[in-house]
Amino acid sequence: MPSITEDFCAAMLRAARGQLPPPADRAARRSLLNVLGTAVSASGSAAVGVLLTAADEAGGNGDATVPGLARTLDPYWAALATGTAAHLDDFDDTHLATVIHPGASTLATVLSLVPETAPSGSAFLGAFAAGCEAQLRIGCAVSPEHYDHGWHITGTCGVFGAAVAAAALLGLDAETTARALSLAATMTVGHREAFGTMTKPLHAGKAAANGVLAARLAAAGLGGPADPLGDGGVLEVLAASVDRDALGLGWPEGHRWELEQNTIKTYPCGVVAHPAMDAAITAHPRLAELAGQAEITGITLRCNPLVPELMGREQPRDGLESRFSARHGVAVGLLYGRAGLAEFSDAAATAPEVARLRSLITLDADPDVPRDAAVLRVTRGPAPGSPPGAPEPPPVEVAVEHTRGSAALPLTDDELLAKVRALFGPVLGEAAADRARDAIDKLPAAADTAELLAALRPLNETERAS
Amino acid sequence: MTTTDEILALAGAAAGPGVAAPASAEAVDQAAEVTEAELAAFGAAAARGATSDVVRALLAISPGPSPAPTATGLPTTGLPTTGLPNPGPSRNPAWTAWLTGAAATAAAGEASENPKTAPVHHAWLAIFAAGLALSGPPERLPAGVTVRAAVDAGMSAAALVETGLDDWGGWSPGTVAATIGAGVTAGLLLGLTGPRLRAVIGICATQASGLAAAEGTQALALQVGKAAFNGVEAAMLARAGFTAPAEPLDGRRGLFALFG
Repeated sequence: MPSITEDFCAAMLRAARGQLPPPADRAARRSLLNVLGTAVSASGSAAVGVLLTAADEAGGNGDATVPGLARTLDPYWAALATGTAAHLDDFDDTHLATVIHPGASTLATVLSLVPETAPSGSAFLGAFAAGCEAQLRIGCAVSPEHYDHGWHITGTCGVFGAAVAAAALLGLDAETTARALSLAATMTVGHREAFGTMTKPLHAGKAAANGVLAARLAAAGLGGPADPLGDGGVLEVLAASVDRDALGLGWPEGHRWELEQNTIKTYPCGVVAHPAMDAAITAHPRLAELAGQAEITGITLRCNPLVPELMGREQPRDGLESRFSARHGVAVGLLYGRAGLAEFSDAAATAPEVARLRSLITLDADPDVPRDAAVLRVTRGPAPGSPPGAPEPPPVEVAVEHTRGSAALPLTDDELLAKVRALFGPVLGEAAADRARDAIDKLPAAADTAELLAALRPLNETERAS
Repeated sequence: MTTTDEILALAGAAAGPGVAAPASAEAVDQAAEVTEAELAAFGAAAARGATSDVVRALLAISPGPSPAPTATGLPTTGLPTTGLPNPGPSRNPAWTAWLTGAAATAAAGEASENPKTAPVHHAWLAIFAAGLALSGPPERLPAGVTVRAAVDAGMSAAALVETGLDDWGGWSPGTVAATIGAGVTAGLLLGLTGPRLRAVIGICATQASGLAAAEGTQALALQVGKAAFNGVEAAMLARAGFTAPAEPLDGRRGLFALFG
């Protein structure tokens, strides 16, 4: 009788190697396009530069594509660089029930293995889908306790998804894949303490690289503790409370794909602050109308308790730290009416006018506020030059019921493409985003991934658009 | 003073006289003073484990020419060669560390080679592996740093981490602590100090892993060797400028909070 882990792996491999149901197929293609965008966008970042330097020292050249770069790396360093880049700006995706960002590590896994496995388009997309699905189901099994305790679940569960995706491409059977998971269980990565540093996105890169290593070692005959997903296995190490039903063993009729619940980020920062930023951007024109007439004197954000827990930095010192400051997101939204990559740069994080506004913001945590909702209230003092005792202008209040990009209000395909165009633009040109989207849509019937890979690389470094 | 501060202080002492005062924790005293005989014993254990299934598998999947070490040229120890095949010069010392740590662990599973704790202490093996991977003639090491001193500092760091918690759940305390110790050893041998060495500890802490359930399986040798790999790689990344949290051990969501 197969173990729980073998049963789980068999289902994941069948999913990877079969025809994806239409909703899962669409979710996989959207998630793939999205993380390709974030990976390309961050390919010239300082963090990726460090990884390339280390790869050079380690002799890490090879044939694997890193989105946005002309140079290619061996599978290990390609996985590390791609996964790190795709998650670097916190602009990728979120499965809200687990807070996993599944796309980055899974993209890194499947791309790194293209040269040696030469997958068909459907095999590539199937492995990506199953890799995301595996980590999300394992994440569901240990949620919410695992993340709440302080683990960065994108890394700790990502390694299992990476191992499954690698196993699918390497042609492993369920028994071997189960051994890969037992080895992956000894290579989990990720503390939330790392948020705001380069080490946070490294979790996604390392999850990918470790997952591939685990699959290779299993293929070479090795194994670890038996049945890691079974009773008393690694799940109980990751969380005291485990919901093994969430693994969807046997894939019972009607059991949904968790991948379909993966949401696309609209702002490059922690997702729990997105409703607040929607509110701030909505408030911006109303405040701008009164510019010069009244100065903001106070800002209160009524929000879910996860906002101060995950995004509580008061005065971030650089762009990476600002991604974990709801106050920063609200401040740039109010000031500029937008919150893109430029508003989370080092320059924006240290701008005096942003710092002043951040200092006026109070986070009012309320457990009755859903994760995708927020209420923003901005108060202003009398207009400059007003006589003493002049009345204060009425406060501006904006309530957001569902943030853009949430499960209730997902990005349309056109909005997603617009996001990816903006991410590709400075690196490869916006037209490359369209080519990538077209190539992804053709994957289910494509003999290989050549068309997709061609859209991800400049012919040489001098052709980078920026 | 946080645990990371203590580790940096003892590492500063290992980097040369007058750099910083050593930490005075009892755990450090217990772990300090690695001897030449212990270093030699590690080399002998790695040599015996070189033909294990785990090492064969690692060699099969390692990139490029085998990165196995010769172990010659150690400036202070005169370690014996490990017996691992060595068709070309190592390009990635992290792989050397993984192979050597796994080999020594595989051998130690059969017969204890650890004079400090019985039957074997994982931290001891991973930290020695990191030191061996980055060893070289004295003129190639940072001024004032010896392999023995770097290993000693790594051992002390690991001891501080391991004694920082009473209950490790299902995690392997020796392997978790070994990652920090291997990083400190590797960082010192790459000449890192201050913020860069702090970053090494941060990169190591976030990926410190390993399961108690691995005992008795092939995963034990793999995870001990991987701790050495991660430590050496973290030092390479920190040297190149990678950033990490300032308090990866004592921080609110740091190692002690999570493993406890």
